Amino acid sequence: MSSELFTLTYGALVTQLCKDYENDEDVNKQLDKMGYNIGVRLIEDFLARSNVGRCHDFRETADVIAKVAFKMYLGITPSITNWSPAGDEFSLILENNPLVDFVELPDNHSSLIYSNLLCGVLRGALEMVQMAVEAKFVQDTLKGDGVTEIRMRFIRRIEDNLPAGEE
Amino acid sequence: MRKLKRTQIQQGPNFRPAVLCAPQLAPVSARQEPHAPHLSSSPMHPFHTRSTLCSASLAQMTSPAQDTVLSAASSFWSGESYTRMPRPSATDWLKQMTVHNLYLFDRNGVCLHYSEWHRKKQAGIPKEEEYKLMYGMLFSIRSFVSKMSPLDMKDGFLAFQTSRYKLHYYETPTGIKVVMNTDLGVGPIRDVLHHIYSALYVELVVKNPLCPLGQTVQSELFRSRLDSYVRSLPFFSARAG
Repeated sequence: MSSELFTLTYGALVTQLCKDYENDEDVNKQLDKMGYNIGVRLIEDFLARSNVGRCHDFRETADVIAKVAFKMYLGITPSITNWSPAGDEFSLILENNPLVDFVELPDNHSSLIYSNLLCGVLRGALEMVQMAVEAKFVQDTLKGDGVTEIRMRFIRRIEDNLPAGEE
Repeated sequence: MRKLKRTQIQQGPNFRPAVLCAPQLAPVSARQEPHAPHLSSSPMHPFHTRSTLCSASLAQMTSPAQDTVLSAASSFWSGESYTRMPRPSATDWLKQMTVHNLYLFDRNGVCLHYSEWHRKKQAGIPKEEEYKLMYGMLFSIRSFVSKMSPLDMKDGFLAFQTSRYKLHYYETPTGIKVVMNTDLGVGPIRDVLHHIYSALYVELVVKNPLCPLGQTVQSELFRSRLDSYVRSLPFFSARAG
């Protein structure tokens, strides 16, 4: 499948959301929500295809996200940098972002996070494997930065819940 | 017809293999029952492993004069409420392997799907409670197994077996659990359970945006594809196992 169709579809989606919500913050929230819904399903497809087992720590998770998942779905391999001293935060540096191939942000949408869907996908997918994380864009080529940088922060481990009534 | 079968048996060695291969008819079992005591009550029963039974049945094919072995082996089977089972031979073990039932759970203990193919005995409790019981047991056994493991855990809990069935388990990192009960003769089937997850559940349920997650799968396509996949497995025998 050509990447142009994917890029144009995503662009049409964001444009429509902008028309519907008129407010950049709301659009960002919607993109995150949509990304979350994609992520909870995408993780199952990822596990079914990649045969990766459970990750033992956040570093392993970062490696799998960058080298396997991004490669599988977007065809790019971001690099992992800027590990925090505690090992619970890292940055994904994307040299090129296939979602923004033909895009220029107009001036009246300066606070729009165009690729916010990706943050939602990461958050949704990791929540299904028992990791609560926060993902946000700290640099964006659409806003004039050299690279696109997503900062991932590990919040906590989500424990398995025994269904109510079981002891 | 009945009389003919009896004559064949009594006539001697040439006819025994024919009886072994023939489909089980009531007269043959009726003949067997009065002959030997039910092995389930005899002290020998617990030691009748599959290998001794196989060798007993093989022995009777080669030295057919051993009527006691023949009737002992057959009454072992009749004592198990399988009064209509043919006398077991080595190849019959393959024909008898089967899948009893299959459960699919998600990470919250919701039973996404249940199918059964050959289940002679129900649990005696409502289905909802049965699913909860199964999930609770799996949850406990998983944590038990990892706690008590004398070595570093690799894959975790894989299967357990009783004297009558074997329960196979497969879990994904997202908490989707595939549980299949089969006959004892079935070996490790992790790849089969992985296929059920990846090619059936993920393809037909997860990727369908109209199929809500976290509740019982309503998709008829999923149910029928799963059914035909299980029926096509090499260890599935359509005859009641």
